[in-house]
Amino acid sequence: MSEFTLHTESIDVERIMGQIRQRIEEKRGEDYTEAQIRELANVKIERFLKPENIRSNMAEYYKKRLKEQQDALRAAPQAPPSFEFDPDIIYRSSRGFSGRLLSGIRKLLNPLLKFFFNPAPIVHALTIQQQINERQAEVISQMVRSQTEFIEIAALNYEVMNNLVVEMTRLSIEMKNHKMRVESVAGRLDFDERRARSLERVVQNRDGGAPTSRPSGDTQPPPQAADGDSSPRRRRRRGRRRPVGLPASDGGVSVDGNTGEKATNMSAESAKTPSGPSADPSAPKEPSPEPAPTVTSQPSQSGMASPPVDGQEPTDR
Amino acid sequence: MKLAVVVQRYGAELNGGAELHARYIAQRLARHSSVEVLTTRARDYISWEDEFPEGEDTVNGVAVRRFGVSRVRDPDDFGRRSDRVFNQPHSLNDELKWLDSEGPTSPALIRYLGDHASDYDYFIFFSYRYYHAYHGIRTVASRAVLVPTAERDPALGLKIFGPTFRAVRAIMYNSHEEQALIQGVSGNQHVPGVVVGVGSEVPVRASSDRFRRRTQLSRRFAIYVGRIDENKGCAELFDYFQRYSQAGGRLDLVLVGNPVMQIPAHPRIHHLGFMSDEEKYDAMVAAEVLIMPSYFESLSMVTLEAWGMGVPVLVNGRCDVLRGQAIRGNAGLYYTNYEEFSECLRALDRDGPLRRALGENGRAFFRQHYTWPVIDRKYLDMLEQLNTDDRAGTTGQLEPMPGWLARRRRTVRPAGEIVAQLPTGPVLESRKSAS
Repeated sequence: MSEFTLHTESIDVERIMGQIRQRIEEKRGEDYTEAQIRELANVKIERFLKPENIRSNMAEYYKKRLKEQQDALRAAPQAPPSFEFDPDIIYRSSRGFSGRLLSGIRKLLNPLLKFFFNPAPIVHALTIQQQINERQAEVISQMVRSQTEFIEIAALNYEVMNNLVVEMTRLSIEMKNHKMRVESVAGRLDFDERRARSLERVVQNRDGGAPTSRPSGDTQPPPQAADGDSSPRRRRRRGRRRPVGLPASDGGVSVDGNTGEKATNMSAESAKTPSGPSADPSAPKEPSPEPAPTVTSQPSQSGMASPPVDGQEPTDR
Repeated sequence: MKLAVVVQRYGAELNGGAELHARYIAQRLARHSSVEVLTTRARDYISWEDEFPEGEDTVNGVAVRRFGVSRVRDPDDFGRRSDRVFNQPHSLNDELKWLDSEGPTSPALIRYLGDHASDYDYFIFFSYRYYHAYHGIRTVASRAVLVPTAERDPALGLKIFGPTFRAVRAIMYNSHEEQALIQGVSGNQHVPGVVVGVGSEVPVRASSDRFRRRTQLSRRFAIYVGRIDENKGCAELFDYFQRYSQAGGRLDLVLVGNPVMQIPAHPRIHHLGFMSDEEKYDAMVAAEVLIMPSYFESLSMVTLEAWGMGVPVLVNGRCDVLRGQAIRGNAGLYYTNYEEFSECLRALDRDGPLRRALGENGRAFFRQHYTWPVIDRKYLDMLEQLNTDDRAGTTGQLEPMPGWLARRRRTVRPAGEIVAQLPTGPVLESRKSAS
């Protein structure tokens, strides 16, 4: 990070901090912090929920409700123990011997009681109610169990969904970054092509409008070019010729976008061809009267000639 | 001139910020005047239990007189009272009880001050927030000079301290930010005050080679010196550093000091423990940058020492004092989040000219403001001015304590709320004059 322009006597910490913050802002376009991604993900969850006409604070509400439900289930009061009921229970007493005596007297007087009202339906109803209570208790405990499981699954689902949204956000950001990079590379490629084209024009102009190449099928250089001293044209300095079989470049991609393998083949073919006008990158621009299997450079996708394979510019100016 | 330095604890082995500050000042002033230190018998700043022997003592050639503490601190009681006065509406009486609970409660020391006030020309009180300073200043206000060592913490908003700040004869501030805070909370602009800080003696011949030979550390590193404590921002430092390291940062982190929290096991974090001064300075000079992650500092002596040795610093920008000093001295960068931490550390790592320039500025800033002759001069000038004022009949005036009923009215706002409303940020108006 050597972009700071420093003068020791006039160093200004606030200015440097301003530059650092600017850099951070620029980087934020590419790199998001974990917290920022999560923040974006949360926003997306809410956006996702809104179209369904659910409360916009559904995510928060959902989390809160889950917790409340879990707490409520944990805090639910225990049901009282079931009451064992039988037809004789209304006559019993728990006072030991006197209780048993009392119970006997009650049974003796039972007919008199029945003379006033019939307790049998009450006893029956209470018996039925006791059975109903037991079944209900069992059903409720089953429901609580299933509800607990549901809450756990829901919590898991929420986590999974949240993680998915986080990942999706991360991926969408990465995709956006990649898209920007592709656009940037395309822009640079376009610029390089235009630059190469303009350089070719410069070469052609410097040659005084004279034909700059012979038919590409002609692999032998003219004697003047081979000697070099009597030619009116300036001799071009060629870049260091790469030995056959070496990769095209460090990056493995030649200037016109060909892979290293292709560039290597081209290089090998170039190596067979002596230097001279026939190796001029502008040569393929001339219409070739006949097929030229030994052409030293091939037109790129955009129709322009490839520069020398080792990446050097066509001229040494 | 006979001076008394009044401080909550005192001892050659006590390295707490205010206590060390008081010891340095006492030792320096003893070269020019007769100095006696009046303090408690406490060694531990949490319990204030009596540990030093009572009576007279001598520490590094300075006379010390110690007084007993009447009660040790009850942390639960102190916590409850702190919560009340910091966060709830309360009464002045609650604040006074909070002060008693905080300690070190030493009525004997206050009695001595009252009885022997005329024996001393001036009393230099350290740390406004403790029992000795509050009651001591109320006892000898007309001769009191205060070194507040205040930070932006809720205690500053307590109403009982306002009259203290307004009653003293002079205040020796540690930084412009501290001055702004105290003036903001108490309106004591009329009290003579000067930003002094504390000096340091950095060695001329610290050796990075010696450090590297001793520790076998060959990699370049950033250093933290001090107590390794969550309250000092170390947890955040570890978090940030691990992320920086994971993101390809090249510097290691060396820690010097005693830990009171767990240090993460990380191959690039090296804890070297407590070191002697010589070893510490060797380590600092070997470092690329000193990191000071503390949120609350009234003055970081380690930062000043780093500057004295020409080492740039990276400080926590949420601490107004550190940030203000870094900006005024043009001698360090600051961070308020991980991104800034990482970028600043990368800049300091990769940009040699930047590092050297900040280090040189730090050295110049230190020489201009924090060498001992400069500090001595500021103290002596202030005492001389007070002496002149005394001869002219100028004295301070202590506001009377409200009545019994008024002290018990629960009309005082929470201190935390008051401090939160104080202006924040570094003081930069004085930048030109300071740098």
